[in-house]
Amino acid sequence: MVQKKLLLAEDDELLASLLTFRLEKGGYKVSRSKDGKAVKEHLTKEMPDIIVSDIMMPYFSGIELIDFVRNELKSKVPIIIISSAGNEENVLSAFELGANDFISKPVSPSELLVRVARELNKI
Amino acid sequence: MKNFKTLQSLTKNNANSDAANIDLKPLYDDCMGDCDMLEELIGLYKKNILEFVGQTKINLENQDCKGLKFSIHKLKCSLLLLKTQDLFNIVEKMHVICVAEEDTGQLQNLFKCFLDSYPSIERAIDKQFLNLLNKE
Repeated sequence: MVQKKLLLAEDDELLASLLTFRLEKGGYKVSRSKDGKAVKEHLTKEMPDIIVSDIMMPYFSGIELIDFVRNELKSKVPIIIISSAGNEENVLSAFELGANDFISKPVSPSELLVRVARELNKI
Repeated sequence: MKNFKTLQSLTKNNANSDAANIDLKPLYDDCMGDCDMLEELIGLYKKNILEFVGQTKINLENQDCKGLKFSIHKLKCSLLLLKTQDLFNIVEKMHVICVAEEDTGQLQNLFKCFLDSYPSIERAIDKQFLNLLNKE
């Protein structure tokens, strides 16, 4: 079975490590980027099957990332946004720009796995 | 005076309550019982705390509220993942003061409370991790 490629854009190493661990156990091939610049570079070289991204990242926010993917790269790749509580305005902007789903911090790895699978099943 | 009382009530029991309430089991379960992974995450938690402490000292010296808000935002998730709710409450209160642009004296006091509370919490985490290792 071909492994699905997932790009995880999260600058919090603790959360990123936990999520990577569980996603890899769940059978995904995970690439990690800890800032928006690295995400952009990654996406111009290779498009994953799904993107999971924090909203607040150095250099290039999750919102800018969605805009870049949808409007510059013209890709419909599913994007799940990770956001802190109290960041509702940004979550709304993310949906307006084309995010497929969002999950609140602290992220439950089991919940994320379910949401990732659900988005990939829609394709 | 009212603010001082709020600060006291927020921090009075912190040093021991979080330490007493430390429960690594949910994170251990998230790690699917992998102690090496749990140890790595605990290490990253400590690293995040150290980074926050260093950054906050600089931000308070420079009265950089924007920088402080960013550091607090970044730490919150780690505090919630390790279920250190009392430390979370302290940084949440710091965040509220930053947003309201109130006096930095309160921020200094809250930061001191954070520093006073953390060592016992770190010891409790280490102790519980050892207990989990011994149970394996």
